Amino acid sequence: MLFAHGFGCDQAMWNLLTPQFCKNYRIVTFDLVGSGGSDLTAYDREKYSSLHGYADDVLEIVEAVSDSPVIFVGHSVSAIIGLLASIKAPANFAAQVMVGPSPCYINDGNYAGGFARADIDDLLAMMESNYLGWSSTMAPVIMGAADQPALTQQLTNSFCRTDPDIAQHFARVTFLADHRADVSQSATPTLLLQCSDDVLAPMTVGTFMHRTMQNSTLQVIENVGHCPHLSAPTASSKAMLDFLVATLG
Amino acid sequence: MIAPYPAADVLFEKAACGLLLTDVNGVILRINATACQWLGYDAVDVIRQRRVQDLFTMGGRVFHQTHSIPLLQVQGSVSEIQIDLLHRDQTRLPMLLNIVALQNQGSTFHQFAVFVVTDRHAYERELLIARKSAEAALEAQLKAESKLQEINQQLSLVDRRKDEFLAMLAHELRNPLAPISTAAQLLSMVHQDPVRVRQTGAIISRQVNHMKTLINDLLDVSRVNSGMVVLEAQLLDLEQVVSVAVEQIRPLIQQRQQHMTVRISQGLPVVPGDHKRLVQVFANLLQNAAKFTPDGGVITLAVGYTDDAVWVRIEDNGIGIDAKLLPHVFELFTQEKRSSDRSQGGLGLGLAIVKNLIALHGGEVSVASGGISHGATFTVRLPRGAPPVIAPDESAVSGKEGTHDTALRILVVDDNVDAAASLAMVLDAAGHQVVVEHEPYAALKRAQHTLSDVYLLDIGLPGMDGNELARCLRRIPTTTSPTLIAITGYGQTYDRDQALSAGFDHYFVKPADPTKLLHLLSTIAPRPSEPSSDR
Repeated sequence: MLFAHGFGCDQAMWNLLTPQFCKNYRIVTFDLVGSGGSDLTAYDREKYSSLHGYADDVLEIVEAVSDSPVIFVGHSVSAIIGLLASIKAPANFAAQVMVGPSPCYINDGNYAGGFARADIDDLLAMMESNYLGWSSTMAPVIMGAADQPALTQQLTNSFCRTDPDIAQHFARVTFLADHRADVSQSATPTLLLQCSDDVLAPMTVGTFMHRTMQNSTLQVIENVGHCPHLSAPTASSKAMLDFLVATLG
Repeated sequence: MIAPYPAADVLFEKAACGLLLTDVNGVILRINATACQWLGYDAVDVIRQRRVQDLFTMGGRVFHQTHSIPLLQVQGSVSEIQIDLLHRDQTRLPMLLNIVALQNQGSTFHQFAVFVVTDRHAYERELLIARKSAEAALEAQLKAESKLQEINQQLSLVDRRKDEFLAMLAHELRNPLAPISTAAQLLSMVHQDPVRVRQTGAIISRQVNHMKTLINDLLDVSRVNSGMVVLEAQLLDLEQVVSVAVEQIRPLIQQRQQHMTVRISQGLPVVPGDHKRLVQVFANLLQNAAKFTPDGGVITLAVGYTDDAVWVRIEDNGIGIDAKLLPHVFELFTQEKRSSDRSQGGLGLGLAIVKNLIALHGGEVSVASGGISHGATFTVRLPRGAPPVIAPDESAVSGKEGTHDTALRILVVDDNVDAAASLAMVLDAAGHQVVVEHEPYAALKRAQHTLSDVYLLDIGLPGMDGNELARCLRRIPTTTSPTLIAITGYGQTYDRDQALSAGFDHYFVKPADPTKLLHLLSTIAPRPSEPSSDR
């Protein structure tokens, strides 16, 4: 199983979910180039000016880590990255799990992506102003540490810390992308994990994905927010295990 | 004694910051009076009625969900989030947000502390703008630096090419010296045998001509490059121009058994241009095509026209040009590495000269090639329209006309004894009365006593240069001016102008072509005898 994290985070976001799978699967997690502990000097603005750049990376990783088709789990933007990869090399993918995917965030005619262009501009501006004091914003502030989950200090320190310039570029690429036309092109068996209340990927987007994808299963997780693997890890892993058993036996 | 202080609930309600408590889904469970006042709500309108997300802008909601919530879930707190909250009247309030996750009896709650940061926000916007302009300046600087680096690389490449060129030049200039040197030795051995002498002379002539061509190319490229060439423009029929060029190259093409086709469009318009220079251009391109096309290859020359230009295209099926070299073929010092066979000679200056000459005509020359062994196509475009520059050619600086086969009295002044002697021999053989001087003062003294019809002066003389000597000669009172001819190694326009203003009538660059010199002398009439100032 290859896990790809979403925007603004790194592979540590899978830590609550992967233990459910490590008995039956070999788990590979990685940081997208430009995020987490990746080599920031490898961030080529040209290459990563579209999600295809990341999809090519995914294919390289699959080639490197596995001789057989993999199960790809992608959160948010990485779900779309996986979609593109599965279209480029369908033979390398046994199944894919898309957590909170959205092929297009901006409303367009009958398509309800959830946002007006102005909203996205507002978000990008917000990110910009928060990255001014990025270190103070995202650096760990341990308050009431006794109550916190037992995450290591190191993990806490690295979580979600990203080079601000790269994060802004990545945000622009992510939130302005439109891959609706690609959705129907992937024939890989797909689980769509849709949160019941998600600002980023509203229900309308989940039903669009399900309607458009040839071989998809839509599973709604009772959850407010965009990260069911963090806030509802049990329900998420159960839905995934059920799907994998049903699909792959 | 400490005065009684407000109770905890008053501290909560009237705190110096806005305080909110929500469940994990953001439903507002408590809100203090400070927050209510800032946001324009009554507590009852908010508690269990709204979620904290409702107070955010759309962008803020996404940011909250993608940044703050994951951080809360993983590390239990977030601090100093810059976010706009929406007032009840939908105006935006710049706020600073700290959130901490609290556990109570198995449930998780989020506690928010918010601060109004209107001024700080404005200040940070200024900072952001300043940072952006600093970044832009840095980027511009980096760009400039990389541009500089690129230029430096180009310069060192040009420098290297120049070095390579100089090495090649030295080699090419030295080559003819060996046969000349051998021939010189031979002459001393075979001087009794007129046939061998003639053959040896022919060898020397050939080699000297070859060297002359090389040096003329060099001089030409430097003159064209420094803008010292003035076109003698007239309206030209390009069909006639290219046919002269074709005739010049035909022997080479025949020798290589190549097939040449010439196609000229009907109704070719005239083009303003310098006949001699355009012949040079097309001959150069044709020679190039012949050089780089194998024996038996095919060369096509086509001439056509558009609304505003006449074009000449020379196409061959030869060895072609490497794509890497293609952009540089017209540059100076780009060696013709296309061929290891340099037997055709030349310095590889031809295309640089072509490009500059065509540019002087307001036209352009371009090259295309499918790559190695796919031939090359050169296209010259010349604008139809008014002639660019019209000026008299330097060769027109000449005074006297008419042909006289009469012997002239000639004084040759050259400190190079061999050069003077050989020139004297040529003049003598043509029937003139020649006297040689090697030193300018002696020459001047002789001139004051014995007047000559013609003075052939070297410029680089010891003690007094040829120009000065010419001025002195001009000062000698006579009824008829003698003809002053400079014969010099200095071939630049500046040198020529200097000489002409010093009083020279004609100017020859060494080695002077004897035929041309004799032809010139044949147009000069001997001066009537004057009373000699000899005493």
